[in-house]
Amino acid sequence: MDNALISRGLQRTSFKKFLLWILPWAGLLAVGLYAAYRCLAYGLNETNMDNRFAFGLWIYLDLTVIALGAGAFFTGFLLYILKLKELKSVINSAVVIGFICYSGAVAVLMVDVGQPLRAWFTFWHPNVHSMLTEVTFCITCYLTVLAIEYVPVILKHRSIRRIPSMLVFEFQLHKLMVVFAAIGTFLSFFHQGSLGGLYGVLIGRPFAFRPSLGIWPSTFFLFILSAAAVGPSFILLTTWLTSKLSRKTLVRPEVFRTLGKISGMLLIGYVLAKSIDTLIWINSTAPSLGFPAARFYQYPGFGTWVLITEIVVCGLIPALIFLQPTLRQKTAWLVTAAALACAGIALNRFVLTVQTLALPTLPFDPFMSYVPSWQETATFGAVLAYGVLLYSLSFRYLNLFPQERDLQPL
Amino acid sequence: MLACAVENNIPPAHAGTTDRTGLTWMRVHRIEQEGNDASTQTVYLPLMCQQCDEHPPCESVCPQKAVEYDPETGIVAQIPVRCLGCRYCMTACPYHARYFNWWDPSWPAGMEKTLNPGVSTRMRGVVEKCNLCHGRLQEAREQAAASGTSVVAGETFVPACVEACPTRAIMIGDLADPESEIARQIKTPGTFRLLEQLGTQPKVYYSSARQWVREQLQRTIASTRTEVLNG
Amino acid sequence: MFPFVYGFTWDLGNIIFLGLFFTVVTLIMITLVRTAIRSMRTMTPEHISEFQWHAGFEELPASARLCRHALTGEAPGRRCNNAFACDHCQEHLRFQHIRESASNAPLPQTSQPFQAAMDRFYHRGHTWVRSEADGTVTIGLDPLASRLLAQTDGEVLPESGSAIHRNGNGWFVKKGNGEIVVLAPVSGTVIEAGKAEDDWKLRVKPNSDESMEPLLHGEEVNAWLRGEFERFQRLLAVPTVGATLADGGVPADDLSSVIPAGMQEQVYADMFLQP
Repeated sequence: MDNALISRGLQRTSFKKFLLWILPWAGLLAVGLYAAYRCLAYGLNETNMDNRFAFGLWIYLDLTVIALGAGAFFTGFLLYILKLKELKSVINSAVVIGFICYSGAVAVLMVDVGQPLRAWFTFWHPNVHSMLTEVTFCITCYLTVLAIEYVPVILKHRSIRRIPSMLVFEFQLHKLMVVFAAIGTFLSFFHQGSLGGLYGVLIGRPFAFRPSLGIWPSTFFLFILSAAAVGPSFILLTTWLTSKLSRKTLVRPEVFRTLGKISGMLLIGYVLAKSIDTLIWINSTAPSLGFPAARFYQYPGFGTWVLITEIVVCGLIPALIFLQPTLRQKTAWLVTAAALACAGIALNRFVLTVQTLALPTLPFDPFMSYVPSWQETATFGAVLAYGVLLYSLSFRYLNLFPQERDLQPL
Repeated sequence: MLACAVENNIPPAHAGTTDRTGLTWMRVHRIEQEGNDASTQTVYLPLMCQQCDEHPPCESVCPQKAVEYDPETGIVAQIPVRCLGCRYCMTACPYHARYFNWWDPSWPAGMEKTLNPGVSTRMRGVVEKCNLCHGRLQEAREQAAASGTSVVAGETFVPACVEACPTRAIMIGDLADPESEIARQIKTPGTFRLLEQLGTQPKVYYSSARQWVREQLQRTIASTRTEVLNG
Repeated sequence: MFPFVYGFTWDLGNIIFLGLFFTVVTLIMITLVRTAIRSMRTMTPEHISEFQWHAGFEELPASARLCRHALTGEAPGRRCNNAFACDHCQEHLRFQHIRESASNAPLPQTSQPFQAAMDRFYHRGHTWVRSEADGTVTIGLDPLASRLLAQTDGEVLPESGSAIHRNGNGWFVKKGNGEIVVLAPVSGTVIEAGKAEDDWKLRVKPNSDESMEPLLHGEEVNAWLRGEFERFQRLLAVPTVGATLADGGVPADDLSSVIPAGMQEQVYADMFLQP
């Protein structure tokens, strides 16, 4: 029914089947939007956040999706700046995923803050010493850059391309894409880092506090490194998932291997840096603040296994898998390693948001627990649904994978 | 706690408020001596914003400078009309002295007549905390300017909690004045501050003659109790 | 954010931070404005035609993008990354030098489905260009294309005096429900349209700087046509049967009749390099 909108030479399921796929996600989005409406209309008491858990599921979600969406800037950097041409086959998909991640995060943020209409205050009265100011500025600029990078993918659609002004504008925009890729890399470096810096500067939370390198705590650099490491993994994961769901080969196997290798190299660097950082924290930082590190891990459910899982199971092991050329030949290994790496980053963000707040600071504080309310979970679901919907639409109508046409069975 | 709430126009709690979602600028904690024998004692610790000195952890983290440290008075001020409600300052405060308006403040009909005209009410979605009764400080300053005298903390300027405490357990004074009673008090043995090891430099000092109180309140996190609340 | 805002101070942190921010914003703005200006400047038919070709070329399947040097066996399997602009291709230059220095060994003879006239140049869009004595060129359909378009429901040829651009729209052929665009092999001015009995469709005065280098010529043409015929047969593959290739025999006069119903538009688009 919509064949005229599908790129020539590509196969897509029937319109009816596509609608059947879209419908449940649209439903999830609707429920989530209602939950968000409730929070905006009735106040944040609709969530289960409280004065002790000022940051909850949403902030955790924001941090995680922004880390996963780092694939957009990093692939852009590798392709346009370092000229790794084989990544041309995934750059469009990476840009769409990045756009989804960042726009979703910003949308959730607007519900999360108590006074969304005052969001411009951060720009009007910026506190340059606050990590959150840096995050706000950078993410706003970067979302703009991502939108600008997304536009050519849309303009290249066959019916839009026929309009001469759209065709010409896309062509000229693409010629200057390297500028946007460079700006995007610069901005991403800072906001990925600042998101880590958010917790590293908290002198009141010795669990999260880290010493500074220059004006930034070590978590600044760890976050940049981990985001760059997990970006290619997430691209690999989403491409593989799309490939499985659409039952098509979308990229040549070498692309997965390249993504895996890059992810592996950065991941091993990250594991090393994180291990050193953790050792310094255990032996020097935490004790100097009067809090022996072991104290933080004595609570049931949050023992040292969290640390081991984060660094070893979800950090070292996927890195080693990625770095083995023989294992890289098998897609199953690549996907497993990518999933572990993404899980590791998600765990790392969890530890720094939720676990940090759960841990007591005052001597008579208990260890606290928090379970998100249905409104929070539904809003999370809405972001997920929005991502799936936008990506599905992009996959169906836009040319996200240039290699797809040539990889179709004869 | 009540005096503070009355002075500062704290709205009545909505249905569903828990002890973790209420606005308790002054919060009295019950501290029990650890141990199981019959002679265990209990003390009550009034906890409010500790007015950390010079570089309060909450000030540098606010993205829009809604927290202001006044070097002259040492008071850490919160600007509710500028607050975005991001709650970053709440995660930064190790004393958990900052509170968020999870609900729209509302007063039952007629109750608005009890509001203190010297203190502005806040709106939903912003953070608030103890500001050492800044409204009273302003009044004291105005009176002092009118009469040509200066403000004396503890005499012409008395926060609500200090005024209300029946056992005179809370005292305010000028820490910078070495002659003041408070300056003497903080030098007495048995005086300590909470979480001194973090380097927050709080200006609220606690004094106790009991050894166990000093030990329990100055050590690092408690090791056994856990509390689960589903909100 | 700005110096006139209450509470602004000229401290180093503010200067660096806001300086960087405004630099980034300005850079983004400037780049967008540059794009807009360049777009306005290149809204000419010639540029539009060129951009359309480039955009369409990117989406061509690999089977349609065989390098001419793969046809001759010099670079087996090589695909073109240059929109068939051989006159601006480093690799083509390299191969030219190699050809000049190497001996001219004739290509192995294999059976040809079509015989292409050797006195003309061939464009990948299945047209040929023949230089005439008076400096003009004539343009016609190559043997494969003329068999595909043996029966048409009408043609729309460009008017005399109009400009055509290489790789852009040449003329339109109506067939069934759809319309096929035959790509123009040269850039120039149309002088006259051919009549039904002529073996050519257009007579064109080519632009003075127009090079015939990107067009196929000589032995490579037969290799190319053979490949294109195979490509055509692969396109006819029905999902249940798969691709089948003819082994010898003579191509039918009207090749459009062998295209399964419902696949016409797709096949023509693929053969005539439509985007």
